[in-house]
Amino acid sequence: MSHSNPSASTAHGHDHGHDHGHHKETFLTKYIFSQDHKMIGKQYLLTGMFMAVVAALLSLLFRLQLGWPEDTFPWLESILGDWAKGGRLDPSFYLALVTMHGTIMVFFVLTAGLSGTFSNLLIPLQIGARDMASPFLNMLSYWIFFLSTVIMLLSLFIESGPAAAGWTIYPPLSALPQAMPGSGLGMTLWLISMTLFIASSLMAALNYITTILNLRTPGMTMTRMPLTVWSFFTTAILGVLSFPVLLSAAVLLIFDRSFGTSFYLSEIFIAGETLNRTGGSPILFQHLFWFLGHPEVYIVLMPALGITSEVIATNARKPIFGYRAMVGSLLGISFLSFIVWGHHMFVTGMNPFLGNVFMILTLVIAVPSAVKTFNYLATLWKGNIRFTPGMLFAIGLVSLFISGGLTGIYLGNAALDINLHDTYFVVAHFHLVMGSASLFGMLAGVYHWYPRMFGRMMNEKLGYLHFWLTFAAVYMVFFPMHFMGIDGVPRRYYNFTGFEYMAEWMDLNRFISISAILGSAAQLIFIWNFFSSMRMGKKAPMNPWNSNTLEWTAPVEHLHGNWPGEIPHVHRWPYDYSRPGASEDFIPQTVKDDDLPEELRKPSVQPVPHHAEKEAVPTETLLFSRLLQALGFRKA
Amino acid sequence: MKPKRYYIPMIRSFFILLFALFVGITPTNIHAQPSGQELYANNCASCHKIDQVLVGPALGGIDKRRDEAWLLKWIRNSAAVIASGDQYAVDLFNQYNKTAMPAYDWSDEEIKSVLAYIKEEEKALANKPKAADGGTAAASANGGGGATRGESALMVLALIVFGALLLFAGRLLSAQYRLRGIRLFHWNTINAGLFIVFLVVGMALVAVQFARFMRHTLPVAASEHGVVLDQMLAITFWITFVVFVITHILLFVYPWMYRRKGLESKALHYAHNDRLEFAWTVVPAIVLTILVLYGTKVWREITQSEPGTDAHEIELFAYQYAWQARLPGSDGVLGRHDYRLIGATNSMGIDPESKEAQDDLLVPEVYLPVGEPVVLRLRARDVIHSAYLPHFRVQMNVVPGMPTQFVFTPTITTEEMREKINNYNFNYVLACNKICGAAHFNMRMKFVVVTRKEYDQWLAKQRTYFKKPETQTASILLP
Repeated sequence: MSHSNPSASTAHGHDHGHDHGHHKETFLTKYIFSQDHKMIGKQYLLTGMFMAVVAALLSLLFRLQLGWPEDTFPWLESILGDWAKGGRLDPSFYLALVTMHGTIMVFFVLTAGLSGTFSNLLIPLQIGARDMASPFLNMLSYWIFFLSTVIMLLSLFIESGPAAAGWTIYPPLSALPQAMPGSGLGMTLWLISMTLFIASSLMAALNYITTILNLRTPGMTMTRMPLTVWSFFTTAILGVLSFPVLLSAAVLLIFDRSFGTSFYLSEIFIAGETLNRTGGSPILFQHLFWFLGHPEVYIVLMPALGITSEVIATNARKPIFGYRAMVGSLLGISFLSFIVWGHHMFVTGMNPFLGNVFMILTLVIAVPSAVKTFNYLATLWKGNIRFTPGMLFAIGLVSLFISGGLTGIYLGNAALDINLHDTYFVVAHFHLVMGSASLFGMLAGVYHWYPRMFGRMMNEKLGYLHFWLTFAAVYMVFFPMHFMGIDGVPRRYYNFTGFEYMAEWMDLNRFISISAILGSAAQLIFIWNFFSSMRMGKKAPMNPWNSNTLEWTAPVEHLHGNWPGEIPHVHRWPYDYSRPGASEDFIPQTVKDDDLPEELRKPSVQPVPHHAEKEAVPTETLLFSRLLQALGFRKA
Repeated sequence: MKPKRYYIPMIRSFFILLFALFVGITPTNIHAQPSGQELYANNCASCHKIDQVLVGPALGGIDKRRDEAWLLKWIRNSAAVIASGDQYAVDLFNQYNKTAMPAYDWSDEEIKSVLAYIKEEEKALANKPKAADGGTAAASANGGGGATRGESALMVLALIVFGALLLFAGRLLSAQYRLRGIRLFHWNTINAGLFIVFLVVGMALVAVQFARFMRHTLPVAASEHGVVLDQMLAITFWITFVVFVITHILLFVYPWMYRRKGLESKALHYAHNDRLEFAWTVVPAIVLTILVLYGTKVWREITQSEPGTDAHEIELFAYQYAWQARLPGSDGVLGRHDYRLIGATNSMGIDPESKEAQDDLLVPEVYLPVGEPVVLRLRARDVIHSAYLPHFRVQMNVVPGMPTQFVFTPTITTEEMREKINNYNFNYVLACNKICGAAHFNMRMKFVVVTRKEYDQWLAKQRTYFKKPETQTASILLP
């Protein structure tokens, strides 16, 4: 992988602020403190995968408890010591496992691992930029994320155990060390780690937004951007606007924990002591938390939807159906996601009037989600479908998005939520729609862009096996949980032996645990495939999927700056697949109309006005007018 | 030896069955004096186990560690024992995270019955491994554990076989490919076909799950608003289920229909259709609007109904890890409370000066008269809990420093429900449904719905929150 100099500082495009031409790259600058967005993307991916393995192992431990509550596993004691005395998990440690599984999966795998990987890899490559607007900030963002990962993992090894108040860390449980062992040092480390994480994600998101707005190559108007980039764009905006609110929640919690304030505490008697804390409200924390927490769901999901759009269009050899509606629904979801947080709090004792408002807004958000689903189906219709592993996972995502999304209609209904809140119905819902769907998006992305990342192809047959086992396992684990939820079985229970009506589900719990173990084992196939293909995979051609987007015009060999000569110019939207009359079933974005036969020169859909091509970087006014056009409010 | 092992559990289960039938069928059992077992289950079990440390120490062998006189003192008022400087008590308190054990205002007999129960359980646990040797007969008799093992083994086997088959198919393909230069299997076709297989098998399994699991879900709602909620659940279910089935059929059939079939096959370049998109934006919007209007109406009715003056007021008080319930007594008013008054002898922090508090009742389990509205007043002592009564479709968080409430009307008595679901051990139960610490899973309280007459009888026997001269203990008699 020789590193040839990019012909830096080209006439157009951005000024390549960090010129590597003058000094040789060392191992340290190339692989560790790299400022190349592609390398940073890989760093995010590997860290994310490692964290996913950790979080999956944690979940297997608690599935062991739920599947075999009466049995003892002496080997557990040799690993976990006092946390599994006599080979049986300690109830407090069980809660710690649940908490850390959720925290790691939501933030470290599906936020950083998914959006961090693909935003970094694809934004510059797909918009035709040589790197991020600030490669240094980008590097800093990864290393702060890495630090937060290390701190979060460290908290697994302290005597009192990691944070255990649930990934939502509601105070007073999380605020008072007397309340549970995990609320001691473990919680402190959790808060420090998350504070760093938020700082990192802000740096990353600001960089993504700046890059997308300013560094698009000539001809790459907003409405010619692939849907992946659109989804990264809306995701970054959500992150910038919502993560600071979580930071404020965390800071106030740190104050309550360490400096004796009472933002979240009032009228508490605990561990034989009346606390001198009054006037706070635990509900305040929930409002602040879910103001991030709900957009967070979409921060996790939208990149996966963007990846899916791209993968489905490419492999169905069809334009994505309803590009404008797809962009519009991304923007609609982004906007609405800020005003629905209260649906997590219907039964907190919040004013019931607010329950009404949040219910209406929540069910409104189902409309753009439904539009996306139908558009995916319409894209498949009359396609010429090629089942790469990436495509399989993309179709799998749509299935999970439907199954999990529909149950959102139950939970978004405040009245139905009374009996379903915090039951296994909720567990089933969000694991399908947010957890598994996003994970499928991530896997689709890895299979699809692996050749772009490592210059080699992954083994397809192992990919098929991996997909079918995982797809089956996900449904076997999460679908039956709906029934437990309708039976009113609460989540985060150490065992169900104390309640007759819950104990009836013993057999099913065991079935779910076995499925979870098998499903996790299937991921080993992927891990093997991923690492072995780096050395043993077939050499990838430049454009293995016959795709239209710009990342496939860059040479397989990585170079900092992406394209050896000039950056490519864009002359069309990214979805000119299967144009009748064309010699091939794809027309890359770089192809000029002049090079095409007469009848193909007019774009099939006209999302962009023609004069836009001349604008290198549109002004804000232009951008806004194009947004309006994209949404169909203005004629081109 | 062997035959003996077989019939001992059989005889035991016969007697247990007989006992269960007797206890279950006789309506009187719910009015009986609480046995040691009941007292233990309602009060001790949330923090103690016999053989395992939970929140407090394991209770097995407690009679050997401490003498009875000490235990009597400790159970009635542990704080006083600690305050007296008793070294054992102080050590215990420190060892268990300075969590004070609540005081139990029990008679000597009651405490002794609990201690006897602990001893009994301890023995039963010690004998357990031996009994387990008695073969699968006993195991399968109490709930089909054996079948599960078989099923799971079969599952594992099936999956391994499935994986092996796939691998084998892959091998075969490459071998054939190399030998003859043609493809026996076309992976694109196989994957497309697997979507159809997944659709058919998946839908069949969904049907099986509905057939198998729905009868294990909650029985008919036992409250007025619960019936409405169940109706709404059913309507929402049918709407979403139809969408689920149709979209999945399309999603899995399209891959088969439009798979790449060869070099000639082509996709249709079809990028948008405004009318179609308009339709599938508007139709879900209309359906959702209907659901929202329905939902808001029901939600308003449930949450914004003010309790009438006739509503029974019950205060539920949650702490790590148990519930306490207080009734207003004959004056119909709950006495003042203040969290600063909470202590080992005043676990709910009721103001002893309050006139209204004097007749307030502390009840070990909650009885509700059928058909009369109830208002639950919810209060927490330490962290957030959630009062969850799934059978009544009732849930509301219990938040320290912020009183919450829930109004509902129970419609089916415990007896009627037992008849309905043909389970004579059934009881309504209150669970905690907001993560609250180690023994979160163990916080429960029995709820009993009875006729007005039975309710009045029960009410007459309840003790006041503040201790009164010992007059009532004697009045508890077996009917």
